[in-house]
Amino acid sequence: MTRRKEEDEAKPYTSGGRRRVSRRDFLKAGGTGLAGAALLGAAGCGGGQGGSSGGGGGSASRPIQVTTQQDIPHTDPALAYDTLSWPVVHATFVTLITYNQSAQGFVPWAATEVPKPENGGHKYVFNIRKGMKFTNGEPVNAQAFKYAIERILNPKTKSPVADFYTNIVGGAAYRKNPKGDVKGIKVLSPYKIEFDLEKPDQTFLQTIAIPPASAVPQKAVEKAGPDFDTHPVGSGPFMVKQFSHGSKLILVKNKDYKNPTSAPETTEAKAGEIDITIGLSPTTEIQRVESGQADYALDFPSAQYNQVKNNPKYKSYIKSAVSNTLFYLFYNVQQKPFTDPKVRLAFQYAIDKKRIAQVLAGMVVPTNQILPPHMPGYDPSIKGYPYDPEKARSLLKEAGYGNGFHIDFWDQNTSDEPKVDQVIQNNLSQIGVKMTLHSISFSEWISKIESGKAQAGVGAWSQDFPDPSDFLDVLFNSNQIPTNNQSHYSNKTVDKELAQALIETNHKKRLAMYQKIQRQILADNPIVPLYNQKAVYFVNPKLKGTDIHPVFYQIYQQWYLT
Amino acid sequence: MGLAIFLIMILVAILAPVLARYNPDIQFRNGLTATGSPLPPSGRFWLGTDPLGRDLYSRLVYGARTSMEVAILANIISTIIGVVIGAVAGFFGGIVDTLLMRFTDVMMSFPVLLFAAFLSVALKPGLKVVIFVIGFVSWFYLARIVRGEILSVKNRDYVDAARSIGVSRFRILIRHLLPQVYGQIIVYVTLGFSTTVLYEAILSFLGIGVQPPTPSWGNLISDGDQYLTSAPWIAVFPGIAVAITVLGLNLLGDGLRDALDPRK
Repeated sequence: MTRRKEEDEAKPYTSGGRRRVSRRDFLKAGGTGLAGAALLGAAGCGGGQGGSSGGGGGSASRPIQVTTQQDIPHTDPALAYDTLSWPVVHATFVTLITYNQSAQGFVPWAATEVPKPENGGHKYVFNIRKGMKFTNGEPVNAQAFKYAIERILNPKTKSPVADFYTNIVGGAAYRKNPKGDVKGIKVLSPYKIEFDLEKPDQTFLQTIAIPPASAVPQKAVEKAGPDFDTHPVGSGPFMVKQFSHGSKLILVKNKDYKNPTSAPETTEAKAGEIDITIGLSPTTEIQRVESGQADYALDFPSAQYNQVKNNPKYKSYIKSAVSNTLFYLFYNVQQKPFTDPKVRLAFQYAIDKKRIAQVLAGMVVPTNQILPPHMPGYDPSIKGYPYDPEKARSLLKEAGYGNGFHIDFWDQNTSDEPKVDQVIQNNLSQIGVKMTLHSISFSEWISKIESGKAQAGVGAWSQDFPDPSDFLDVLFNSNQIPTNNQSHYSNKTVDKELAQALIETNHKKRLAMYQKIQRQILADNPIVPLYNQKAVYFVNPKLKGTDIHPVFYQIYQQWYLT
Repeated sequence: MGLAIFLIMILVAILAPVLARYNPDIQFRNGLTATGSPLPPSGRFWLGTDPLGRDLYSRLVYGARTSMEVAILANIISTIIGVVIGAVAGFFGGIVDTLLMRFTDVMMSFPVLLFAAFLSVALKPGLKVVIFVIGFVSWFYLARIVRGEILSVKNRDYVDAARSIGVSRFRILIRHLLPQVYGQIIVYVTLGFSTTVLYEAILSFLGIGVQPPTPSWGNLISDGDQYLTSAPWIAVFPGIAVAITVLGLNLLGDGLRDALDPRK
């Protein structure tokens, strides 16, 4: 999903296959960069969490202060598809099921239990709890969920996640022509909903757990029109009291929300109010947390990290976890010189990933594979290639490029990206490859990628949900060329295997299939995997409950001040 | 004094390869601490290193070259435009003058830097673009000065005399009128120089001037902007360099203006 660190509109869709925007975020440095360090949380940062249940209500004495450089794009579930919007939606709306603390499994939320797939994976039935209401009084029932998904599929909504739901019977047709309703979403009774799928899909429950699939109140939505995105009406632990784009977003506890289970994942809001101040430079954000004016800085670029990491006073302020993201060097494998496997192999030896990690102050972890460490299917046995410029040079010579060649390289010009690009440029110049660096804005970069004309560059992807298909299918399926598959990698065998793995119902077998696919892709060297980003945040140690969640990163309803 | 500073800067720019200790693009393995922080000034790296482990002193010296190059070329462009427009307006008078001067007024009323920034982005940032853009936004004042001078001399007796014996208007302009203005041109070119140095620094600082990895004082400051408290040398030294150069050029320009003041 897109790390929402750019003022960007929801991306349009391509037909066929799920199309998601690559996550291009990184540190934004003050005037020039993007902060981005905050990243994606990786699973498991969880460690014994539970503590946040009960006890709650700590003294919600003063509002918790959060800062962010970038604006929060959306509070409407149907439009939210980035790392700034999702935590807000997750705090203010309710989904049928949600992720557990490690994001490796689900817990029921509006549903009474997590359903098992029926009918060979073609059918899911959810029983919904009675008594949950939206803040305007409308009930959270089967119809509210049906309406929510249909609204996403409706082309007028321009939802960036519509393609997640086209596998529902009638969904694809509704996407083109929103007449009548989606036959595959059946309201069996006011509190019982059934989803029928065209093909069994192991990621279906993921798509029901993510914030966009939250129930929304039809009357309020129709009345508010586009205003719903700044004045949302939800049923979750918090309500949006005020949202001024570019300035402030204020969450206040929803007194009518009661935890329907005893699980910490579905807790009431532990704090009375959370104020998010928008538009500060990362330097200011860090200063505010240092001085106590703010409690949680959403941006923490390497420059600021450098400033505080050696100061023992701030050791307890730094929260970090490896996140499920991948940054990689791509090149168009359908054009010379990258059609030659020796050239692609040379690039594997040419890049000094450890140096990149050093330059980024250790905020990233070098990697040699596509799947991030906390992703099911991650393969610790993959060794990858060591940094060996000599070997790279000799490979190029063997391939007939003893005199090197020139490439055009495209990347986003946000804070830490130019640094990474310059290390790469330096590495490549050591093997005789001259790289012209085009450092452009995020939206320009997206356009360039979408045009299919980017010869090489750095790509990034952050998980939508913890499933290997979310990386392997999205980044390497030929139907994702060129937007998410920037290398133009096209391998019919891999495409077929990806389709088979998607519907395989045996969990173990499925993971093994993805591991095989990953090995096959890596053997073709369509990219140079660079690193996984650490999610690092600068947080007042008095603020508790802030463990980084792999899908949501921040779970606002679990926070409280001591 | 100003002249001295100016000459020193030019010398530094020209002699950069000699004065620099290392290639400015080398990212030294030991140019960063183990945890990736830039190094402070030391025997190895006289002015410390930048966030990529490159020698700041070498980059500063090469940066002088880039900044001077941009400033000089941009200045040439703006001088040509300014002199041509001013001379034509002053000499021909009438509607030509009105049109050109109104045009100049309009251009002057734009917030110059914003306009330059906008142009740079629209034309895709880079060395050639930044030279052209700065040149394009720096001619207004010179045009007015030139026009004023031309106006004040064109009605002199010797001009009438030349016309009456059939000298073409063009020759009068070039051979008789413009030379009166050279003095003024030199003064304002020098002063304009300081502005172009500053503009280059600002545009490169914003990321829309000279592109990495080519060093220029502006983008060195930009590199260091995020490190002001943890590694201040990265931004401070180029900042001082810009300040001294601009100061020197201003002193030089003022000095020239005084020296060439016709009232003396």
